[in-house]
Amino acid sequence: MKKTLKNALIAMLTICLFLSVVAIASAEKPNYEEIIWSPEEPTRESEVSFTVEITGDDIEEVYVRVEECNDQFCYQDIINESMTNTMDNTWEGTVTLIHDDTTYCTVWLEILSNETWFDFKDSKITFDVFEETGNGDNGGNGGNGENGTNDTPGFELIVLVISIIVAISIYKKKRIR
Amino acid sequence: MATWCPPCVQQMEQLESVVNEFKNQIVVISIDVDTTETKTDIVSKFGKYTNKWIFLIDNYKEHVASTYQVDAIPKIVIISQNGNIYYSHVGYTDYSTISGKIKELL
Repeated sequence: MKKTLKNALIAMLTICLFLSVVAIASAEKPNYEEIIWSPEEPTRESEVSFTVEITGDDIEEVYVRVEECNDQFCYQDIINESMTNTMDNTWEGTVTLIHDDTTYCTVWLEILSNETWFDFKDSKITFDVFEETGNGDNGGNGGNGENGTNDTPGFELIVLVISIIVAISIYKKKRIR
Repeated sequence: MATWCPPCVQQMEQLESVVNEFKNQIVVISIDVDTTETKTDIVSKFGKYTNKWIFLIDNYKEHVASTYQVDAIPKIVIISQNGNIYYSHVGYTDYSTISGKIKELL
């Protein structure tokens, strides 16, 4: 009788152990393919929307974390925005970039699945942030300044006018002869 | 600093050179000001440096970040032996600049 009880206890313990292993294994990290941002070339202090398709068990909450950086430093105030489940596995969120000297952003997700938070710091994406250009005022970037003299539309127009004048004068000279 | 900050990663290389040069003359402390980060984050990103100088996380009410007015990272702060801030700079700082400032102090 005692032996049967002992065996039953061992069997129950084994089953419990098995079930707990199964439970741990089922709390798998959710997956996503890629984070799509829009517009593709966002400007400083503008709104950027993110769309991502997430698969996994019981996705409860998703946060998009956006860091604003330039080649010298990153701002400490990370943007942490909640995403909404728009359809099926698609989540969307919009953030407003804060700083006026950001040149790139890095983005990652934090996902609450099965009451466990998963962060995806190790699969971050990076996108460039551009300076907003005013009407016709394109000279803001230092990089354009160096070779900007010959590339302006005004210069091309002058070259065109001079070419036409030269061509007309050559044509007239030939006619006179 | 924080593990997610690319300029901070570059900064670590410069700090390693500083530590090598001033081994027993200075104390170098890197403070992670992102309170959401853990020891695991630091070890996985900066593991090659963690046995060379001290790494801390500013997880007590962001006390260090507010005291030293850290709004961008990396921020280099050089404190003299009498406890005064001798040099402070926001952003990537190269080895020669840091080394020069320390030499002025020693």
